[in-house]
Amino acid sequence: MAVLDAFDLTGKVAVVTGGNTGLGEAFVRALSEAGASVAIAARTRDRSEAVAKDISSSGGKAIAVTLDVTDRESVERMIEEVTELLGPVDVLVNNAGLCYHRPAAEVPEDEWMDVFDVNVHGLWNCAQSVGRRMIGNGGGVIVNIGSISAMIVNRPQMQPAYNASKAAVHQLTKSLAAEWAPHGVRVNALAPGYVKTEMAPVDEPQFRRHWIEDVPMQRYAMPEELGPSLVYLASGASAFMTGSVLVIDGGYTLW
Amino acid sequence: MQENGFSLRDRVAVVTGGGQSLGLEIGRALKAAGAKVVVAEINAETGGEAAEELEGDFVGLDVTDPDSVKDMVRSVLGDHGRIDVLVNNAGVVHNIPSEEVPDDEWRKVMSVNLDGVFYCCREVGKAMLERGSGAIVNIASMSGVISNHPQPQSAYNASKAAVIMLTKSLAGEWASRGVRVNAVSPGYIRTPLTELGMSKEEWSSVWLESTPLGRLAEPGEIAPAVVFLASDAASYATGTNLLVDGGYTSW
Repeated sequence: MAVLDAFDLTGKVAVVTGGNTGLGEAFVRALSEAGASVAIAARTRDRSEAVAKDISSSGGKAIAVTLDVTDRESVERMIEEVTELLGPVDVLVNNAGLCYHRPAAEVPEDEWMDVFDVNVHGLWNCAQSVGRRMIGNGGGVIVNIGSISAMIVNRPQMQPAYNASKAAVHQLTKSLAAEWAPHGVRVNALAPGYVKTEMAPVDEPQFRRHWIEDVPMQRYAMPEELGPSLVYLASGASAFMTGSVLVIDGGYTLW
Repeated sequence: MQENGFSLRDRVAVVTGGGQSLGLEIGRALKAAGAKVVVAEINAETGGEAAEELEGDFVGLDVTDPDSVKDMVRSVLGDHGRIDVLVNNAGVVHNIPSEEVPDDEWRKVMSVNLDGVFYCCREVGKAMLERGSGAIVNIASMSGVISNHPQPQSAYNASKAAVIMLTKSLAGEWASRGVRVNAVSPGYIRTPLTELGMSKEEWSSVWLESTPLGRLAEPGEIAPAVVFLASDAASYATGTNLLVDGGYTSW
């Protein structure tokens, strides 16, 4: 089963930012199932600990670490803690993100800043701080969670800051990929469509027309369905891939 | 033990151009993932050898001939009753300056790289739609996204761009009927198609210099992408073009 071994992450250390809920939690579980030791890095430690405990009780290895991606010192502390408890970081999943629905003309200053602080500056803080160490260690893998919102404009809800922030994530992915390829650090993005999480109330009737009917598959994804894509990107199965954006959207962007 | 999510256990997988190089590596990976592999190939010798190695079947196939495609599908359905996975891998390239490309050369590239993909998708797609399930992976190329240099290959580039859009078109049509259609777009791979270029310093230096990873891919590095898209691990992926190019298109 050699090819399936290429997806194996046994012995690898992974960090998932925002890893205690929604897609992040699904990524943590998928990485753990693939064999990685996983650090769940998020602001709300209680919730992270609950997920870590659940994973540990089923034979996996996961720890909770406190992280505010917008605070560089917090990022540095997180890396030190993970390195001490699990070892040097092999896989970084930049998943923490937030979104507000609001027409552009009504977006207040702090909401705009909030989205860019977390989705762009926070991702940059983690990518740079972890990336430096990966370069020093001879390599690593970074997966940034982008979005189809970087490629199309969602509707009916307006979310201008989120859309712009995710476009920045996709292009930063390519920039870091090109720059760090000689150092053995691969950087790719995963761009999901609508997934059933707290961030996306996919079951609400007012969204059905566009969120479901505009999807060729005529359905949303469950978070678990995105896990294998993350494992593919994090593992040696994608060894020649860097600077790519993997779109998993049920076909949304093809219409 | 829980089944590996990328497993293709007992799936019937057809690989066009499966007798050599990337096609053979894809066949090896599909087999390793548990699939029963059908090598559909115009060259009976390499096709037969590949099928023997993969403990699968060889079926003669000229993708440019709709009747040959229909015969292939009939034969596989006769033997296995179904096709779960189709990998459209057969492809050709020429490196002729556009102003000098003869009509028959243009046609040859288009007929293998584009017509062939469509005929195989259409005929295998019918069987998949009837069962309400199936996964098609088209081997496109980064040449469908960027124009290669310094070598001229306009027909190849145009054909691969068409394959990417055909992939999206079929994905949109068939998504609600259980058939997923995706593409893998490799960068430069060590295969017979790139052998000539690698022997020319003026080509190979540009290829390597333009690839952030600074090297060609081995065919075995592309195959896992195909396994991923062919498997249930990609259950929400359709119409996607997965670039595996060592970063080439980032620059």
